[in-house]
Amino acid sequence: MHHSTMRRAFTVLGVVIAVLAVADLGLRAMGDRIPDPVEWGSPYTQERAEALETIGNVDLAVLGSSVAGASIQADELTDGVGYNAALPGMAPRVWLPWFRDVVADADPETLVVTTDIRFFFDYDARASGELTSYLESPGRQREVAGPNLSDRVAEVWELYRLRSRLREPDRLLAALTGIGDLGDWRPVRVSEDGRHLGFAGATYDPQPGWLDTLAAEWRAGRLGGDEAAAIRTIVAEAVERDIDVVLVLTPAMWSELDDALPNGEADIATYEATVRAIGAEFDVPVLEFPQFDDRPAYYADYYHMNELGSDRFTAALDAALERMQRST
Amino acid sequence: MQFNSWSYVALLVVVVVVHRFVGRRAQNVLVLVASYVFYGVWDWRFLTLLWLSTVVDYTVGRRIEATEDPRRRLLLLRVSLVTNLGILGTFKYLGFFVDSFVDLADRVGFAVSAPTLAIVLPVGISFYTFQTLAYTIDVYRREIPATRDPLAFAVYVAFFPQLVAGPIERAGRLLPQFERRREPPSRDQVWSGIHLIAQGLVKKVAIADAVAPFVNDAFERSADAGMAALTLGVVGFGLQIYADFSAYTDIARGSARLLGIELVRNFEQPYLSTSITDFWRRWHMSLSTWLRDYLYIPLGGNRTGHTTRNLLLTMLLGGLWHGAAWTFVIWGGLHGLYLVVHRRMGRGEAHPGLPRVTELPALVVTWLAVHLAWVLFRAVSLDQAWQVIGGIGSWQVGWFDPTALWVVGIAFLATVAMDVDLRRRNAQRVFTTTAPVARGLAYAAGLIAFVVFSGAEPVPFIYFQF
Repeated sequence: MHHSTMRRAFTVLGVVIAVLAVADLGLRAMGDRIPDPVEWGSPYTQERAEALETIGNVDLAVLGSSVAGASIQADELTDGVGYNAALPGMAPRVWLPWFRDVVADADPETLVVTTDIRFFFDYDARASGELTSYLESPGRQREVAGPNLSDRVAEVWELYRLRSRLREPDRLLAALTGIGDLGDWRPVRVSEDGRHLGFAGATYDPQPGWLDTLAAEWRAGRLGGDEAAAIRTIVAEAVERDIDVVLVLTPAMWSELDDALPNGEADIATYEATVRAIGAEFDVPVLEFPQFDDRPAYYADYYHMNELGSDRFTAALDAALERMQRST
Repeated sequence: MQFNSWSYVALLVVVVVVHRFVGRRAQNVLVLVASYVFYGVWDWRFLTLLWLSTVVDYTVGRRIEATEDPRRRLLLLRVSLVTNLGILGTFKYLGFFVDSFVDLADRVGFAVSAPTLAIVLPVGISFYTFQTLAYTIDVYRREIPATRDPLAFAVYVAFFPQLVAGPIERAGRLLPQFERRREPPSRDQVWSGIHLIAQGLVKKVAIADAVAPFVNDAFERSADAGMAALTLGVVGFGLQIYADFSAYTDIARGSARLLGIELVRNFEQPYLSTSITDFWRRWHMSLSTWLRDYLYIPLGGNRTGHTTRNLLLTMLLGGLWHGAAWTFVIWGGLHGLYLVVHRRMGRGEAHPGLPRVTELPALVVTWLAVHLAWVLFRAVSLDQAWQVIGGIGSWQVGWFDPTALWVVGIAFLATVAMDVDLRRRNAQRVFTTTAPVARGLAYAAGLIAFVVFSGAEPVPFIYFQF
């Protein structure tokens, strides 16, 4: 090879390496302005997985959907460390591997398993996607099988680690300049003990369109099938691990919701009876709070509690747990 | 086995290394085994179709050559045609024709019931059947001698770099390369082969796969998407299909070059075309020349006074070759119409260099016409195609994802930059003569884009479905 060809080749290589180095240094200099990539299927799952890893062991953990996420202040329920590990928008079929992979590793003495009617209906079109997204997420893969080559590369190469964020140049520009919409680059609103703060400041604002969506989901779904089975398995496995399990039937604006249910109040009765049956099968208490039903002042929408509702409901749940402890 | 997979890299490395140290026969055995492994990974059962085509066309070719009786020669040719078109017709078109017949009968008032045909489409069937057919036709026309080397012929049919998505090679060009021992490729050949593979991977990942989600989103939501999102979707699809298919060709040509085999060019910057005729000389060139030589010219070409009919028929069948759906047929018909109009206008021949400033209006019109037709090519139904065209024509801007604007915009600029460089030098590898610093910047940009988009959901090559 001629000297001039060699020189050109080295110049090209040098420029490539220099550009890559500058890009990497630039990304490091941006620090927190580019949020970490979502590696657990959803930012809320990631927030909670990372928090639980930092905290280590907890005394009490909460499982559930955004209904539990919004309403329960886990730290108030124990003298030790409490954490609300509820997964917004996710059904019990996702809670089950989440419990096995992450929550159980935090070694809780008490597990509060909440149920809500939305996610008691099997609705495969939604749940299977969420489940696959969770199971195949790099974060979960790493948790289960340990770091792979890709994780090792990401540890040393910032460009590689942040590549999913860099696929959204408009968000990057908004993060750097403050102009434009950050969209889902905004940090999730979660308290230190895991409570979802997204509904905290709201007052009751029913959305009829949302009720139509729920009604469509429920019509296409099936009550008490795979989702109920997942809750039963969670309870069985937690009991097997000597964890004190408490089932909680979360309250809601039933007077609004029952119109959207295919069989109205009959579905509510079936749902509650199924949860009670699971409790009875494993000798696990089932806590019910009818005094919170149909109290608009406590809610942001049909089932998510606002700040007032969360304060009152957490206090009631805490009192119920204390009564239980005293009685045992 | 996908080109953009580690298993393909492993296969290629093993074949290239072993190929270097063995004799001609062993080279062909090695490539043939690798080709069958490559194909069998998808579905080993369809290897039987590949073998059937190979055996029939090898035998027919020998027998055609062995006889001077014109009737017997024609009969043998028909055996090959019936076999190959029969395979293609059964596996690719039977369901389509049955469904279309039932639909037509229903429309004219006859209730016809037919079984639902769930026939799996063998990968690459349209490509290898056309390639083997070309061999037999060329032997029949006495343009090439029939090969006496069944192993070389089997490799010609199944050569893994171009088996499933071309280029569709002619026997007169490719077969002799398997009939002699390949010398180890020179350093320049190895480098250019690797360069083509890398160029193809960057185009596939950083352009085609990068814009794919926005294209999919626009077409799936065509019923209620606005003009902006749909326009981005159509422009994005134009970029996607070009980057995707030309990337496949680059990787195929690069892989073959590492084995000392030269494959034909398949693309020459088609979006810089200044007429639709020019476009078809630069887009999927191995198919357009196949259609010209084995369909258009036998129909009479432009000599019989039936040029319009011949052009339309050729392009309709070219559309149908892509897929068993009316959207593809209409896509082909639309291009046929474009070609007829262009011919009637009597516009002059395009020149080989970059378009001149005065040709920019013609370039823009050609680009718009091609992209209008892409709507039909990409849509899953005629209804969806009309929704997209209607949505764009509505002039209601509507909501669109700003990320789509960025990604499609950058992909567009990158495509233009690469094509201008290639056209200027009449080259196939980008930026090879650019000043070292600029070349380094371009390669770094390509590498960064590759890294950024390589973590997204992998998308199969579009032309695998044909």
